[in-house]
Parts: sequence; C-alpha cells; structure tokens
Amino acid sequence: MAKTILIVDDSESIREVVHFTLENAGYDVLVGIDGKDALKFFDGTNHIDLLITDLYMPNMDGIELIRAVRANEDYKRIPILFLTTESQREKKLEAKDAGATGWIIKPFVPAKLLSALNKVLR
Amino acid sequence: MDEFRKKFIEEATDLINALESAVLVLEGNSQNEELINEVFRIMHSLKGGGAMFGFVMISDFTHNLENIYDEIRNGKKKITKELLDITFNSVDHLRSLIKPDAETNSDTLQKQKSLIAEIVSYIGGVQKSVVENITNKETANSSYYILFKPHVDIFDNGTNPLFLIDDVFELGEVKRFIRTQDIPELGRFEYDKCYVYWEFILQTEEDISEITDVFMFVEDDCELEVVKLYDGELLSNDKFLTLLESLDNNSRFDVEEIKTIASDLSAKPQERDVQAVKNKINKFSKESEITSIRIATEKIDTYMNLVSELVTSLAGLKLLTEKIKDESLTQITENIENITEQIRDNALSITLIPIENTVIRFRRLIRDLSADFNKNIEFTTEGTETTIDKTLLQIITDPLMHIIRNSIDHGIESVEERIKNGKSAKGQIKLRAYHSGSNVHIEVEDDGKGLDINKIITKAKEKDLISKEAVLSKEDAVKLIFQPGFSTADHVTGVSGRGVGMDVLRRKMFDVRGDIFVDTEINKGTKITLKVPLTLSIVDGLLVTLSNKLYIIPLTSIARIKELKYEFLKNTKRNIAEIDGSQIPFYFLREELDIDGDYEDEVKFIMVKYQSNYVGLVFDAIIGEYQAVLKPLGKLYKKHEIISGASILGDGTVALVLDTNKLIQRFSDEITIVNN
Repeated sequence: MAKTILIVDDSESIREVVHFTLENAGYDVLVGIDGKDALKFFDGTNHIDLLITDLYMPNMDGIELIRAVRANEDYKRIPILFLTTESQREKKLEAKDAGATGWIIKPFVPAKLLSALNKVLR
Repeated sequence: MDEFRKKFIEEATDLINALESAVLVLEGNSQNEELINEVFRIMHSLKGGGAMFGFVMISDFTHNLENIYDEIRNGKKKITKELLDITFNSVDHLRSLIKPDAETNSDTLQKQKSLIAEIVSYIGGVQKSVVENITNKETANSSYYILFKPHVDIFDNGTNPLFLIDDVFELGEVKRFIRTQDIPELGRFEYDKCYVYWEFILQTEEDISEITDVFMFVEDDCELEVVKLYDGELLSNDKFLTLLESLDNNSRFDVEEIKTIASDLSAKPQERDVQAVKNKINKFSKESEITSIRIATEKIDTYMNLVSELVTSLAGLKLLTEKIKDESLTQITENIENITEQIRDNALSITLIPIENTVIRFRRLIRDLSADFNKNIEFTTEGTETTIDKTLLQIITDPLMHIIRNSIDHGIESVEERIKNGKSAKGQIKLRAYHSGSNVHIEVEDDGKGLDINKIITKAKEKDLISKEAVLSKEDAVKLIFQPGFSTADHVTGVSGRGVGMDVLRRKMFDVRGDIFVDTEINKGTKITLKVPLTLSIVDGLLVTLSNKLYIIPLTSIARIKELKYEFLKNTKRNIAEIDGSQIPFYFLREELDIDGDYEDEVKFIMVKYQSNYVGLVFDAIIGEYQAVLKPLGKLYKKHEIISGASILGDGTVALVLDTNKLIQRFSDEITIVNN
C-alpha cells in the first residue's frame, strides 16, 4: 500500500511542487495550507505515515502543528519533517523540542526530497 | 517546472501586496508583534520560494531584508522611519524582481545592489559579522572524530539513525566503524531497540557546528562526541589509516589516542605535495617497521590443521548447544563461533600473498618478448595487491605466462598492421586481478586482433576435432582452443604455437578447482580470465550420500542436478542418458566404487563438468551445501587420486571430497565420451 504523506505549507507553489514530486514517486498525498487547516486530517480516520510541514505559516505555524500532532494519541509516533531555509539553529532547536524528526533544507530538488523521505519512511 | 514558476510569480505578487499592506499598518503600530511576525513570515516565504524556483535575486534580496526583521523580532532593533522607507523601497524592488527581465535589466540589477548596501549598512555591525563569517569560512578540509551512540530506545521517537549516518556521509569523506558488540544474543534481543553504535573519522570543509547540527534531533537520546582531530586531511594519509586500523579492536576508540596520532602526524613538516608526503611516510614505515617475519611452512601447516580442528569442534559444540537450549551456553557458543571465524580468516590470510610478486616477472618477459617480435607493447596492471594462496599462485604462474606469451605473439599485431587498422601503435596488455566471492579472478586482456572464429572452425575441421558439417556458435567455437592438439598459429614460433597450451592450461585450472574463460572480439582484442579459488584448504561443496556415507562434490564442478528414476537410467544403452535433448554419459557410482547396497527408485543425477562435456554421477540423496575444511588423508590413502581430501562434519562424521575430474578420467578409460 502506498504510504500517505501530509504536506503543509502556506505557499501554493511549494505545495504543488512537493505534491507533484511525491505523487509521481507513488505516494498518497494530503495537503494542508497551514497548521490549522492540517489539523483536520488528524481526526483518527486518516492514516498518515509522514508529516512534512513548513515552519512559518499564518493561523497556526509549524511548531504549533508539530506540538499538536505529538500530543495526539493516534498520531504521536509518526515521523515529522519540517521545511526550512538555511541553517537557523534556534528555529531548528525549537522544532526539535516540539518533536520534529528532521528537516529538509529549501531549496531542494525532487531527488533530495525523495531520498530524505526514504530515510524516515524505511 | 515552468508551470511552478508561473504559479510562484502569482503567489509572490500576492505576498508582495500583503507585505506592502502589512508594512503600511506597521507604520502606525510599530510595536505590534504579530504584524512584525507577519512581515517576517512573508519575507521568509518569498525567500524560500525564490530559492526553490530559481529566482536567485529574490532569495538573495529577501535574505538580507529578513535579517533586519529577525533583529526586530528578537527585540534587538527598533522600527524606525528609515527602516520603513527601506522596506517600502524593497517592496517596489521586489515587484520588479518578479518581472521576466529582472535578471538582465541593468536598472533592476543596480537597484538590487544599492538596496542591499543600504540594508547592510542599516544592520551595521550585525550584518558585518555575518559577512565576515562567510568570508572566513574555512575551505580547507579538517578532520573530525565522531562518536554516535544512540540510546537503545531511539526508534521510539521515529528516528532512524541511518538517516543521520547518511547525513554524515554527505558532509565529506568518511571512514566509518560500526560497533556491534552490544548486540545481545537472540534470546534477549528486542527488535525495537538499537544496539549498534558508530564511530567516524570525517574529513570535511564544513564547520564543526554543521556536524553537531546533524545530530541536533537526537542529542538527548544519544551519546555524541565530536572532536576536531586535525586541521587537514587525515583520510588520505596512509600512515594515519594504518595506525587507526591497528587501534581498532572492534570497540570504542580512545579519542585521546587518535588525537595523539593526528598531532604527531601534523607535527611533521607540512608538504604541499601530498604524494611526496605519502611516499615519505610509506618509505618511513617500511624502514622502521618489521612488516613480516619468516615462519617455517611446517608450522603454518600445523596451525592450519589446528584451525580446522577448531572449526570442526565448534560445529560439534553448536549441535550440542542447539540440543540443550540454554541461554548462557548459547551466548558462549556464539562468542566462540565469532572468534573461531576470525581465527579461521586470519589463518587463511597468512598463507595468502599478493600477486604483485609474480607480476614483476611478467613485466620483464613482456619487455624482452616485445623486442624479439618487434612489437610495441604497454603492460598495465590493476589489483595486483589481490592476495591468493601461495601454492595456487605457483600453480597459475605458468598458465599466466603462457597466456601473456600468446597475447604478445598472436594477439597484438605488428606496429605497421596496427596503424593500418587505425589502432594506436602501442599495443596494450592489461592484467587485472580481483576477488569475486571465494574466488580470485585474474584477467589478461589485450587490444590485439582477437581470435578469428572462422579460422578456428576451419582448423578444427581439418584436425577432425568437429564434424565437417558442424555449425558452431561463437562461444562454442572459442571453446575449441581448449581441445587437445589445437593450435591456429600459421607457423610455429619460438614462443608459442606448438599446440600444447590451452588444453594443458585448462586442465591445470581444473586441477585446482578453478576455471578459464575466453572473451574475444575480432580486431578488438581478447580477454582470458582465470578463476581460482582463494585457497585450497576450504571448498564449497555439495554434501551427497551413497549408502548413508557422505561425499562432498565441489560446487564449482557441478553444472546441474536432476532427480531421475533409477529405472530410466538402468534402461539406457551404454550408460548414456538423454537429458533435455543432450546425450549425457553417466556412472552408477555405487557400482563403479564397489559400494554395497542398492539405489532407491528416485536417484540424484549430478551433472559435473568434464572437459567440455557434462557427465552424470548417480547418488542416493543430497543433504545440502557445505563449506568443507579440507583435511589431508593419511599416507595410506595417498594413491587414491579420486579423493582429494576429507572433511569432518560437526557431528564427527567424515565426508570424502571427490575429485570429479580424476574420477571421470579413471572411469572414462572404459567408455568414450561423446561430444554433444
């Protein structure tokens, strides 16, 4: 069965690029436009293998989303990757404390994204 | 991608508009944290998207702008009229940056420069330090030691340590040591625990913080040590590697020791020329270290014998352990097994020597012969550090010599001919050795004229080796050169062409359970590959039975195995069975070897290679594959050529190792092998 990945980003173009790349690679993809929107998927009915989220988003940012997922009994063990531009150590640490598994540096090419996924989804 | 870029431009337009209105509101509420965050977030989105979709100018520009707002967010700077002016100018500039001509428009380029300069000077000291950081960033490689020992429960939070290890590999050149001694025996092994840890020597131009960042997420769930060893490359230093290996005893390194080694090496005067340093170190280590001692072969034989006794006893112990099923006994047995394997490998490696020694002789031969034949030949080698059993090396030296002679004499053309055929004047002979499984392959490849298949077939017909009407595939034709009494040389020269050769050579290879392959293409060259087992004292075999007695047939000589009805074989004429359309001569081993008992209804028909044919041997049953340690037979059995040795199985049973070539040779005096 194809793995299901939820991607959350407020930028439509980034969402589309990630969506397109993942779908081409055979994953099932769910899309959220910000943290708040993404929470609707964590209702116990969706199976989610991995969450990829941006950090800076309106309404509810990535850190809050990560915390919410880690507090959700049904989903708290899924791997979570966040998207970030160059090394912002403090932000990374904050995301880590919230419970993230790792990060993907923007910009990324599809191959890099997929290889990062393979590592956490194995 | 173009579609995504278009989408990004639309999105960027919206973002810039949102930025403008946010900044407008900010003008009246300069303390509003939420607004400041909003502005920062928009800039961040523009930066990320810009980088993602190839708008380098946008990402560069917003990167600078974002820095200011980051300062403000952190309360280090206040919003001023000047800043708002810069920001509004920036909004206008961003609008021009999403236009298609942005990267070529000189006005835009000019504006980008002046605005960035303005931003940088606004941030002043802070930005400066960033710039300095960038310019001072070391570009030369440094070497680090890394210990990464994940907590046993690391899998619980979704971390896959291998992910981090891949990241370490992305940082630069890495030497990795995997430490597995903490893995418990199976009874206490829990599948969701991590028992392994890693040590690395990393050579990278990245900063130490980049290394620790890799492990940022697991810092609390692991033992991590990152130590800078040396401001330079250690992994290209053979001396360092040798010393490191000597320190490696499969458990954690003493970092201080490694550091000492590294600083010792760095204390030596630094040379620009890495090769010179390497050479010096090599020379130095050669001079100062006793790298070898001489041992009487007798002692080695005894040692090898004891090792095989040990392997055998271990098999007995394992059987017993399985029966008793006691956890602590299992653990001890596994330990002994582990050690025994290491001893065995070590023992085998003692008798192995690199083929380099022999290759030196070939160089001389080629030099002399090229002169004799007026040919211009370059001899290159690869993998001559490959090691092989000393006895075997002696056995294959002559065959190799022969092959090389053939290449010089028949393979490589004269200089005139080569030029005429559009080849370089200099002929190439390449010797390449490498390990492949439990075998060593040695290839001799020339770029000469290749074997003339038609000539081979004609010759074979002349010599009645094949029937006049025979049509042969290229592969089959090539095999003809292994027929006794075959030579295609037009004249007999002083070196080769006497027609003894390839057949003798192949027999020699078979004698040591090896093989020989030919790959040729007309006008391109010929490649002859010798396949030799790593050692004569261990054989991968198939364990078979006959009247409940065990025999081992070397796997290398087995072509196919069939299960057949005894009736079918008994009713064939002259012991030749038709198997899948081929006529296969076969022997009832029970009768040939005078063994008591009768075959059952179903028998095992093992087809072994003999010269270029297959011959069937009939056994009762097959037990399975078995790696046998060969023990010499006593004096009394010396004359039994068909048995090349014996092996003692775990339960103490003796299995005889059959030399199928000798076996069939002996039987075949009685019947004729039919070509098929």
